[in-house]
Amino acid sequence: MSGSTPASDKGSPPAGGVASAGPLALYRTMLLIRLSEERLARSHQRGLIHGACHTYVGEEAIAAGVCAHLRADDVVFSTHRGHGHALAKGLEPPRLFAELYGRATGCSRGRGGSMHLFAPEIGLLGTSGIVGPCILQAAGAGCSFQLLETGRVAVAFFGDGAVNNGAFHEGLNLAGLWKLPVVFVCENNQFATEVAFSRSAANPSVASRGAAYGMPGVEVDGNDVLAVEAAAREAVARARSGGGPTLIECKTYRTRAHAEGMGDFTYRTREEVERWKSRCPLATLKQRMLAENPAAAAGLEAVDREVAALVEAAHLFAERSEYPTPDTAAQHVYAVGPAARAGESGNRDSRPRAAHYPPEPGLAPAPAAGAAPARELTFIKATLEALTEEMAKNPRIFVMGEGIGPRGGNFATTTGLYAQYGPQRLRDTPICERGFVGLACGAAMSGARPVVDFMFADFILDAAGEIVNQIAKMQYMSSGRLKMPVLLRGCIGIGHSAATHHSGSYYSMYAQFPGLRVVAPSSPRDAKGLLKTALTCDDPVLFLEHRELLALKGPVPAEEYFIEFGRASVVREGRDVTVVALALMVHRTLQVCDTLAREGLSVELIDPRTVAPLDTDTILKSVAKTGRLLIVDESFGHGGIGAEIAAQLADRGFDDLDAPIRRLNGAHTPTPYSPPLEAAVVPSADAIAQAIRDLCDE
Amino acid sequence: MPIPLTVPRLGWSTEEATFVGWLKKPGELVRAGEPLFTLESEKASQEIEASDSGVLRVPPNSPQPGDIVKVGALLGYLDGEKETKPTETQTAAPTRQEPVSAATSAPSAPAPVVEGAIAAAPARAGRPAASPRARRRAAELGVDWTRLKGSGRTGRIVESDVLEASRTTAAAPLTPMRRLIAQRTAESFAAAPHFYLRAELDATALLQLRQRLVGEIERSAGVRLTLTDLILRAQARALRQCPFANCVWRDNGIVACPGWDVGLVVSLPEGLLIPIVRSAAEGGVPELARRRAALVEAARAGRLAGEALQGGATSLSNLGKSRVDEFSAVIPSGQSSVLAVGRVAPRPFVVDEQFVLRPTLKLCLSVDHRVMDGGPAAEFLGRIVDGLEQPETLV
Repeated sequence: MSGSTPASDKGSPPAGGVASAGPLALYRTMLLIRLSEERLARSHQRGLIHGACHTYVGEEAIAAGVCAHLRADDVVFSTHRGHGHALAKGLEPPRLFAELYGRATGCSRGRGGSMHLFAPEIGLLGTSGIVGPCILQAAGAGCSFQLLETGRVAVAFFGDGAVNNGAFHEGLNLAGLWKLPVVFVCENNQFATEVAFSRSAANPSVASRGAAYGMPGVEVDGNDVLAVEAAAREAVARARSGGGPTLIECKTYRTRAHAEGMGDFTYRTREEVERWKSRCPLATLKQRMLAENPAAAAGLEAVDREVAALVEAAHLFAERSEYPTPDTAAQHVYAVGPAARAGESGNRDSRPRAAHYPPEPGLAPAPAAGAAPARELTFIKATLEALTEEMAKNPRIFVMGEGIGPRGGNFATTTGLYAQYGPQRLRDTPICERGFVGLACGAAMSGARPVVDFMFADFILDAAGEIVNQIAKMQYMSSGRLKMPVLLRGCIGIGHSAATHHSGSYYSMYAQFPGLRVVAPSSPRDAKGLLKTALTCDDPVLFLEHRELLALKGPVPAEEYFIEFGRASVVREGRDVTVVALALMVHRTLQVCDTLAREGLSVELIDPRTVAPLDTDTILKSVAKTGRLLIVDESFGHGGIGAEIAAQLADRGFDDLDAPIRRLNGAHTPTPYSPPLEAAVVPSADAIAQAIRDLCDE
Repeated sequence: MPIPLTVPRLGWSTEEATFVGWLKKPGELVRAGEPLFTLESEKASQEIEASDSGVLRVPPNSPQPGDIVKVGALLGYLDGEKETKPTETQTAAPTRQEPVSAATSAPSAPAPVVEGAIAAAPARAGRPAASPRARRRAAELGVDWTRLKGSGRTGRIVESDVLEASRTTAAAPLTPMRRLIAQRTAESFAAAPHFYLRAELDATALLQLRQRLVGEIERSAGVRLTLTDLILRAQARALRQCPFANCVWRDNGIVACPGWDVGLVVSLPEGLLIPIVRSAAEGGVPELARRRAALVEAARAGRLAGEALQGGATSLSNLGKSRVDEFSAVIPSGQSSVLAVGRVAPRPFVVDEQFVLRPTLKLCLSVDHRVMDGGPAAEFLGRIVDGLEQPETLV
């Protein structure tokens, strides 16, 4: 291995790769980790590391033993204690050091630090500050590799703290169920942060839990690199050959504090730490090698010298590297331009996009002279058409959800697709939203394009952490080297006494987070065009479909078209007042426009169509004309998208305003069941008409 | 000690002026020599410099922009830099009310909620509330929205109120200059008993002279000689010959003006100014033309200071470039006559008891009967006509 070309993105072969799983190579990998960690601990003390620093000292045998069997294109997902995994997978030490020192040359370009190391080029798909998601993401990568038949393997490293977490249960169940090529490596160092495993697990054996998920569970001495190496060899071979996942529990111990600078003896004793130090995996291996062959000393000493120099060079490189410039802080939140994933099929990239946009507006399109009259389709048929077209073009698309297989989806979102594409691309899931969303995250990170069909958007909340903390942040944390083409779709909206767990509209909440695109169409035509864009863009998209609109019929052009995100539609032109509405509220407002026109009030109705990005320019232009703005939003007012629009318009359009900005929102209550109660919490057509009149009287 | 700031006398006849506004903000440190406020007197505005240094203080009852102020009236104070806050602003402060914040009116209805202020439209003390759009439109149309009555639910002035006001009120905003012209012409026309003397003259020689001189003067003096220059010269020479015409009426009777000065009415997009051409009877014609041109340019650029507009007993108003054959003018306030001149046109004219076609000029002299009677006034006009018919004498 060479650490002398830190500027190169090309990873050198993993330390102790498949061809070099011998003891000396394992020793070298462990030593590289050990000396790096000790050097980083000193740097932390010196203030060169700006945030937390969790070292892997004492646990080196696990990363070294497992990664010895991984190919360069296999992938690993790791934890907050991930330096060792990164180095064992082949991350060049200078890039590790530079990342911790916050430099532009770091493996995450300074966006991650100790807990967010990314090097997709060498299969390091990330370390994470959240306990559990790496298990789901590894399952997702396994799913991706199975779908694309690549023969690659995914590994999740996680601690004992993760195994009492829902992600462990959901991830292992999905991997066992679908026989995914994954190795789950539990590094049981006996403390979840500072809480002893013996006090957090009802079943003290992690390995034994494999049986619950239909996979082998193996317990090994995590301080014996040869034992780990042997167990990993078997597990990786099983995964690669289609035999499914394995759970390996490695019993080990970290001999430094949870994080550098933290006290260590409030929850464990010095004696216990010293006892484990005496079982040092490096010393143990060295003794064994010398006992078997005293002549190995020369080789060991050469490795000692080489690795010491390597680590010192890494430190110097990092210390001399530049910090990233502040003006790049907002780069890589979103993918730039249209999808450009190497190897993705389809001719999207060469398509001149703008030319495909049909003329505005969305709801009442006037067909161009000579053009064939648009067909009438329902909202849901229009989205099915979009999905069908894109699945035919792109074999990387697969759909997950409850009942989206042979049944064709609760809302007929996938009708007919199972017959065409089968269970690999239409995967009925158990009811485990967190599990399959986390899995979708890993799948997107590793080359697939997952579509998650939630049925109801309310269900997504169980997966909010995976969306907000993982999916939304992944492009940024990896400084744009990972793309996240995940489509998350589900129904929103109040109606038909669905009550409070089947009625929420959550677009404002998701729009708050950088990294997500949030779409809420109001017409069949918009639904298809926007879904086509969602299925071809590289950003994660929440595609929220109002249930009361699914059966709505409307014109949908027969020719292929896309509707760009961040372009509002002027649904109806008017003179006196601008109304901004989304989804169902567009139609509620339209209902009253003619009546108001007879009263002499001319309404301009704008549908933003996407909540993120939000097209305030179009609203601003309209308010410049009318001077009055009403935002009609079925969702909550407090902190909602209406508040955002109002704030932006009050700022950018202050001098255009002839009256206060008004919002008409749903009541700030959970959604009640009984019809009169339900009707009372949603803006009615009458309430909208009155709000418009009142605003015009201001 | 606070230094009082009063309205200065801008010229020898100024009694009052329009206070246009402060050039410094109250509380701002002013240094001696810096422009402090603007006054508009007679027909020009002038920036008044501070004669002392200090912190500007404007008591609440001080004149507001647009007010007519008497010479000597108090406008404000310059405080020493270390002096504490004046009592005026302290007493004024509590009367000011902050607008009620819209955020404080929390919705209580369980049903769909219209968010926003239901409280009365915020109004600053003494000013009606107006929407930002209404204020912008008012600025564009020159409508003073502070005088409007709002039609909004809470009395707020909205755009339509401004549009309505702009339709029913002045076609153009009332500028200080417009206000002054209105005031001065009405005053003069009411106070000075006007009578009018008319004469027509053969302008053949005058035109020939101008034709002869124009190229040469343009080359030598860089200015284009106009008939106005020659008429100014004739009027000034006549004034010198008729000292009684160089007098004006003041409260205590007839007073004589120093010098042989003639005012020239200069038309501007927003009104008119009458810069005074000093000693127009003397010096070369090129020199006169150059001074006339400089004054007209300064007037058009708004660069005329008060002094340049002060003095003179008579003025010239020449509409010769228009289609007007003859007209009579209102005597400028403070003067005793004005000569109104129409266009030169070929007209039937009697020469040697024969009708011939000649380019002629029609003059009309408006005269203040308090200063001159018909006989002397006729002599004054006669001298002007003589000069113009024998123009060689003017050069």
